[in-house]
Amino acid sequence: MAITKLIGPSNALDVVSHAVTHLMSRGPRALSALGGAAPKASQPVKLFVIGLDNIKDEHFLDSAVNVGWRYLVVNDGPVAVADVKVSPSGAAAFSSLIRGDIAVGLSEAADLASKKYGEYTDKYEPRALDIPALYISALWLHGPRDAFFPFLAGGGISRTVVREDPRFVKNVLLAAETKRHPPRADDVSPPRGRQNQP
Amino acid sequence: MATVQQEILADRPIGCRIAWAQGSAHFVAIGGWSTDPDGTDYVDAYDPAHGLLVQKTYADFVSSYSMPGDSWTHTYFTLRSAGAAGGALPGVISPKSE
Repeated sequence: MAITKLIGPSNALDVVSHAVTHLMSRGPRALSALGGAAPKASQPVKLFVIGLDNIKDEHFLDSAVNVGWRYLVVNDGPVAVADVKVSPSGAAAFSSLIRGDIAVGLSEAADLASKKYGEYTDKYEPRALDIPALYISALWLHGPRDAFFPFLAGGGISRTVVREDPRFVKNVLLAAETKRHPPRADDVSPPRGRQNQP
Repeated sequence: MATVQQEILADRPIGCRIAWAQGSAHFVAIGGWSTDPDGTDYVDAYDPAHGLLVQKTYADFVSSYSMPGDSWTHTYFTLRSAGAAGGALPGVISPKSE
């Protein structure tokens, strides 16, 4: 495999299992609604976050901060992602469980990346990339040539169709610029079919 | 955490502004809480960025929502509607800095 299999902190699976068992017993899609089977955490990826202020040029990925690890939680399909952070001593501590489209999106992105890059001779490290200010989440294959598979873009209202985006860096730069300088209301052209009358 | 517990037990969701550490901000709503057997406090945050539910340790919710330095800056309390059939009518009383 050319996509590196990562091993998270030694106690991370126990930490995730403990928290997931507690948290998934409550709220929507609780364990009882899933048949009561114990959810399982998959192989982790490193979790990186980038802030809006650091997205200024095409080298913004250099400022991505590794904030911990992300595990896909499955129970007859992907149901959540669990994030853990790592203390200076190396021990994992649970941070959050996120339910919803993010789990399905990460799973689909991982499958697509594996099909596309799994047999390459070059090595790629799988990473989860979150850009909270732009509501973007992507699977980032870090290697000789970075590859991106965004699965949430512009909020979770409508999950994007997962595909590799060769223009990801440029698209993020454009989104960041638009966020910083949104178009003025009077710059917006009138809708088609409605023209001002003389 | 005591305020969160008090409001949720009274069926009043809480609006929260989260300021990102590196620019911009985001709004979520707390709709639940729990404490695990080890004593760790969690909040259930309904977050439109992810489409469903973010369950986060209270400590991280306050100061590390996505990364260290993110901060819960404002709280929007809600009122229950006296006439609504079981529904809560959101009503901003005043933003309160944490």
